[in-house]
Amino acid sequence: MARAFRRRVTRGEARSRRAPQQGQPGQPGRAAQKGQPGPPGRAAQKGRPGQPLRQGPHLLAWLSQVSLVRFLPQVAIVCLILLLWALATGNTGGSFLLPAPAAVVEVMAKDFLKIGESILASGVLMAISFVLAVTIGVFLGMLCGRLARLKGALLPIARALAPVPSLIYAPYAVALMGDFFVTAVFVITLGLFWPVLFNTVSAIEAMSEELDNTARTLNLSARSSFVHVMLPHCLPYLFNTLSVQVSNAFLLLVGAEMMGMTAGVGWYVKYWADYSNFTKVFAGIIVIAVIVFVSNIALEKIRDKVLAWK
Amino acid sequence: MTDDATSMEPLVPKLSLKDVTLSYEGNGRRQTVLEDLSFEVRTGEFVSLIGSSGCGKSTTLSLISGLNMPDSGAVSIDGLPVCGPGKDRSVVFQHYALFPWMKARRNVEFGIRQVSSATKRDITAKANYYLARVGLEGKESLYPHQLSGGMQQRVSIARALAMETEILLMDEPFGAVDAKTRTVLQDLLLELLEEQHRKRTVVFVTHDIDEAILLSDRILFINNRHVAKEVPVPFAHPKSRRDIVFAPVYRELRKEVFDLFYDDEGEYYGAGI
Repeated sequence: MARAFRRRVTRGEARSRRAPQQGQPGQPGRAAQKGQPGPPGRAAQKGRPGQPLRQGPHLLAWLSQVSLVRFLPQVAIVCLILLLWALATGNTGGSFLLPAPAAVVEVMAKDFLKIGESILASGVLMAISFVLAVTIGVFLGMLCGRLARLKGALLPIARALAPVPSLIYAPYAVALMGDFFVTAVFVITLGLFWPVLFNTVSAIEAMSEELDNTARTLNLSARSSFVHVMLPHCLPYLFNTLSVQVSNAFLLLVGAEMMGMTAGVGWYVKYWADYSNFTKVFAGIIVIAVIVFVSNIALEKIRDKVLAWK
Repeated sequence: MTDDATSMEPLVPKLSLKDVTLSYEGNGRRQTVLEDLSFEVRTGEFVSLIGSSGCGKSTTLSLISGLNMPDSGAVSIDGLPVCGPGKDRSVVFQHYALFPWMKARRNVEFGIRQVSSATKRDITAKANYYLARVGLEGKESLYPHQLSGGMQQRVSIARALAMETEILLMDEPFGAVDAKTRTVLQDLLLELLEEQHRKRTVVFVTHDIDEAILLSDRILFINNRHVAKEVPVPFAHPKSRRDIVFAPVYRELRKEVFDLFYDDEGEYYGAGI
């Protein structure tokens, strides 16, 4: 609420946008003269000086505020883990299963090209899969919400299919589409698709009767109803689903990248685990953890931006 | 009623409900809500539907708005049957039915856009005008959750008025706001309707006797699933609260409508609810 208020336009801007008073029905002239019965707080607000818009990026202020204060507990926990890890390995340089932190950092630095390539490959894979799953899931979910018959036909089958781990379809996908990248996209998309679908359907079901009646009495076209009413109504549910599904998506990623891929963070971990190179496995795990952490924050930022009306 | 209002009356009423019957399937048995309900509304007339809770007044309004269809009988506007929501009607509900993801101005603009093909600029100008008229100048860029209940209802009213439909349907629009705000909003509605020379035909659902007398030209008391009594409200336009409340006939009218709620034994009709 406070954030939204800060974002408000200044009074000056609001005033300049005031409607021209001519050409309107009724008698605007009279309207302007006549004192409007306003809410009690209105007079007081009128005299308030304009609130300035947020100026510039204020990167430094943002960093000091957001990063340090907000992430302090997380940073503390990570430091504690690192400390314990360092203590456990001592100055022996670590063991076969538990390499020392220094060794892992060294590997990361040496292998940064492959790691960078992996991050990029996984990022592309994830982005495509998320967009596909969200687009198809939300669209089908809204369609089911609108068409009771489609919902009746589709949803019981969908509920029966959803618990099947999507990795099981991978060999068939490879056989059908003959491409490992497409298969990986398919596996992750399918895994994300089910929760998005079910949550969109229940979002539409949860739509209040008043809102639905308003939309109906406004005589909206099907397109308008989808774009301007149902979609924004589903967005909060979608973001909830996605924030839960981010970790699920990375589980799927590791599985999907096991097949035929030559880069990717999931592939990296799996590949070096097969060679029992646990220093590299550790490096990969750290990279994945950081990516998940950053993805969650990015998702949160996007949500706050999109759901400013909440 | 002014004289020319009756003499100018067209042959086809603006709105007519004829022998309307509607029943719901509830708890495994059919329950009749409306039975042989009939009434007509003239162009520019303000008609209030009153009655105790659950008497079917809101249901009647939903038939006119096209959200519901009668089992039998006919609902017609300008002599043509109603077969769904239409661009000739706008509705204000009791609970602020604004789209929470649209700012106040966008909510009004969105309503206008459904009935008008004007340019974006004209639509914005009209939205701003009506928002200013309901006393929300400077609040155009706020989201509904940043507005109080009364302000949200002002936006709903602004949207319905800005759509400039011939028929305005209001389902207890002031039922969920506090007493002070209700008075202010009633005066505002009266003023806006008078200002537009009573071009709009209004059907208004309420259970507030004073509100019905203040706003309407005619009060229809709904009981036993049909219009049980019709009470004309004989105040000349333009009306104002002051003229009405201090008129000698006001007390009599109030008693007449009040007594409608009690049967011959003095039992309140809505007592069982």
